[in-house]
Amino acid sequence: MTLQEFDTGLLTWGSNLDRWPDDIRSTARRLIATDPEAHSLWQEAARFDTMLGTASSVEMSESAVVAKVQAALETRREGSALWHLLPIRQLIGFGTLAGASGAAAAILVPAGANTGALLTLALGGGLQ
Amino acid sequence: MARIDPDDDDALLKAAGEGSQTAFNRLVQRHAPRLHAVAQRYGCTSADADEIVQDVFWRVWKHSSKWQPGAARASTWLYRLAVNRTIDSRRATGRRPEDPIEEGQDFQDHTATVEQVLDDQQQLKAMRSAISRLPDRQRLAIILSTQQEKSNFEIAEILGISEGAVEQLLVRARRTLRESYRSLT
Repeated sequence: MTLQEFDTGLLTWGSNLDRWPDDIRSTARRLIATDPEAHSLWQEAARFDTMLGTASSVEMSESAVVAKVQAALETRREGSALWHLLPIRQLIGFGTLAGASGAAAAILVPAGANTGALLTLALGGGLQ
Repeated sequence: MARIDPDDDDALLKAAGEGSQTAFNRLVQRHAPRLHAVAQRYGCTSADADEIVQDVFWRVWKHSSKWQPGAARASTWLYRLAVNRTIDSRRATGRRPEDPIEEGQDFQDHTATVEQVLDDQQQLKAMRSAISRLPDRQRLAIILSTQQEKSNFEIAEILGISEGAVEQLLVRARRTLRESYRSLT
């Protein structure tokens, strides 16, 4: 293993040699033990990995995250259950009425009319 | 029902798919903080990370019965859902904060001088900033490798790319970050 290959290994798998592939781990260990330059590279990589690990970490309250997720899921489940309780025929009926009202308004309402008010009237009438 | 190993994600997900609320809650306990950390370090705010993790587990709750043991490991599936949802979230907001998280774990060397502590804090801040500037895939690969201690093989499964491609991402990411690190020391 050349120094260049060793350096690429450090960039690929990091300074913890236990994470290196089995077939090159022992070669890397030998290089660290016999080559002062490799040893120096490895020591620098270990310091760099420590810094990288700290920089990548996020401080948080794990229990707070879990509690928040569980509470949100409970709310979603309740909402989902309520949705399923609504009678499907009423939902279809409402959709049909709303669609028909909209189509009628589009055909009958003259240009420049107060479409918002008319639409409100049409939808209100459809719901009665 | 047979007793489930509380640390066996595959068994927990299978049981959740069969309707076990206890197994599902255990999955949330085990993985919600980790997925939250990935989203945050990727650049999401804490509030966005909350939403991402909730969405992931909502999907898991709804679709866990469809998960097949042997196709992909449960934890890989969870991370894949979280990573995809995180990328979508960042695309939607279009933000790329320089360093979204000011709070964070600090060095705990109580023997250090004030100057040393300040130096360490500055290095940490610069390093986080350097991580946040990495291209998306490199950033994800380095977060999964260093923060989550995933193997390159696992990262490849989560990102849906080859192990060789992951190695290239990590080499590029570490090279860039090492340059930043060397300029600080």
